[in-house]
Amino acid sequence: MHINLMIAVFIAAISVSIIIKNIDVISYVNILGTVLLLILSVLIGFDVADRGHIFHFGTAVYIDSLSQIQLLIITTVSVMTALYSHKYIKGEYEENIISLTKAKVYFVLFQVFEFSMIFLCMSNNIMGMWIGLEATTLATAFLIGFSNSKLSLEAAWKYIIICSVGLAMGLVGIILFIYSLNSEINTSMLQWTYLLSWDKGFSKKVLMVAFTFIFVGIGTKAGIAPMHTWLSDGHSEAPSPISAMMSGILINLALYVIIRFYIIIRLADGLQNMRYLFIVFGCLSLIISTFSILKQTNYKRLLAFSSVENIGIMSLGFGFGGVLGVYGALLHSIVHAYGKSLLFLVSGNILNAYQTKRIGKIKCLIRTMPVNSVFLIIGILVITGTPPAASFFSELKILQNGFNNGEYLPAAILAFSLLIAFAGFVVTFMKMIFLNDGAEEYVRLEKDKENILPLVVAVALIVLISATFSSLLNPLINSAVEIICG
Amino acid sequence: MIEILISVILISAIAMSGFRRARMLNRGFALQSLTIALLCLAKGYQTGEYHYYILFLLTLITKVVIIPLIISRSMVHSKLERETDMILSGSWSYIVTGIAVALSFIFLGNFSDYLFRVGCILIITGAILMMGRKKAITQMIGLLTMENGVVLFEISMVKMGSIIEFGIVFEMLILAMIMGIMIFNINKTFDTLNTDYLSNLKE
Repeated sequence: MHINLMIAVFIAAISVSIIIKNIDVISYVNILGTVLLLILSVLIGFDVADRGHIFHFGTAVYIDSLSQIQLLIITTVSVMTALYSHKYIKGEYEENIISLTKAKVYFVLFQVFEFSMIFLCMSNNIMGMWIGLEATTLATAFLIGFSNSKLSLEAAWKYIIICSVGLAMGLVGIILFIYSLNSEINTSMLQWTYLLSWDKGFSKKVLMVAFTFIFVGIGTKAGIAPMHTWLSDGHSEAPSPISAMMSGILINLALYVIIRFYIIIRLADGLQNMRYLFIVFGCLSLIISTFSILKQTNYKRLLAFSSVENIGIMSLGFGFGGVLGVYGALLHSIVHAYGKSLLFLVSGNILNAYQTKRIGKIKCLIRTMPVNSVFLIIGILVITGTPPAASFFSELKILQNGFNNGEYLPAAILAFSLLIAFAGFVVTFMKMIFLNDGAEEYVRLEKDKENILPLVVAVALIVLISATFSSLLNPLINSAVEIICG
Repeated sequence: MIEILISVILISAIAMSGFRRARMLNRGFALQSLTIALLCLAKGYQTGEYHYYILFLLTLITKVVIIPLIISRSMVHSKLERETDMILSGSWSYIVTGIAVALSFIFLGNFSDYLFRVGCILIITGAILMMGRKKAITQMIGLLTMENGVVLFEISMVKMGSIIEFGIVFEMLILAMIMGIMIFNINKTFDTLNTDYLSNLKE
């Protein structure tokens, strides 16, 4: 029922974006659509809490607590970015930077992007997940190159080439994965729930090759180093609301698809070593990204590298594999989604006011944009894992699990990287916020008051999660941990 | 019959790896896709399963007609269609492809299916086209060749069901369209299709 309504909302919103010619109406409908999707996903959440999991359209749609977490992240972040897009697109349209057609294209692609992510996380079919991922690539390629400048076109071209090759490799992995089942092949084998109860054995060598292909291929989309090269360009050149959605949701979802396969791979005996893929690539991501953070001169690029760092933390959490580590990784993915969206939206406001992404050209934000500075500081503290924020507890749990399991080297790399990332963030952003060299009079800018509402929503959600992750959200996360740990 | 078609695919892959002209590459790609479509038809006739016929139709419409049309449309606007300085020259591309053919026939002997090995070779050819050349349009054709290789994998190893196959083919079509529009934009903004000029984003 709720899922049918979701499809209806999507079709209505997209047809309004195509037919109506008034930007205001389109963007209000866009906001209304995302809010309705949020309400529906919460209602689905109650169903899932009641029954454990739900099927729809036969067995085509399957939602359990793991997908429910992703669903809630998608819909809440979309509400924030839809709110932000309203003034963002209106401003660009009124200053004649973009035409009416282009603004309409933006909203259509926004809807398609959100819907393909919802499709991905609801799909029970493993090829459905792949198709959803590819659809997100197609929807976001134009959004990255939205401004048609040299830099954004370059980023978009890089993005579409690298991610398409990655996903092609992922498809090879999925084909080998099905082949490794050693049996007469029929279409119901593509159902994830059917694979979960598979008991006829696997051919292990093929399965190992298959999962490596899946990890590397789909990991490209997740931005795991060394396949992260598109991410730093794409996330920094895209319009800020799209960067927020890509950094907050999309990389989580790619990791979610890998985890879905990992759950089945664990059923085969003697493949426990596959978890070292998560650990090795996680450590690589941490090392590469933290040292890149230190030398950035572009603040949006710095935030993009921080996403690589956070995906490294999550994949280490899944790699350590204990209940604590997986719990930490899931909690971290939730907090990171809101914290990173907040930071990207604030950086969008700064970019809008200063028209530059260079760190050195922005000084004394606390005078010129006091409201945004406060949100920027909150975002930095959340992303770097400062206590009361839930990200502190998630990182602590992952570290604890690493030391408990005796994985001293990866855990030490994690601790060291967290420190360096904290230093990098604080040094860079404190300069931007507080440095007052007296060269000019710093007065408050008019644009400081624009687009504050989505930031307030983001902070409210972060506070909500930090306050309730051990009470209200605990059953949801715990049952997702049970699905992963088996 | 199937062996003949597979050998045509193999020859087209080897030939494409050394072509310098984008127009020839485009024709090579169309021929390759046509052969894959005919392969689906032959398989469908052999096994009597209707989903091969659907795949035949989809491949024929999208990869033999529409995608080559998109490629040639986006080629019209660019001035030079010939690759001038290639990272991997034509003769070296042939040598690398030859080594790839030899290796995949030696090491993949366990998989008795020829389709699987030719799929591997197509993926490698696509990679050579993407890495060894500088034109954006050659990279696009390389990516599509890679996808053809994955389709051969799929035909040889698993059965996806018609809806999923339709989804994959449809997304390839959209991908080709988006890349075509992007190539047009790149040509307009940079005044060239050489990807050497796409290197402003650095650390």
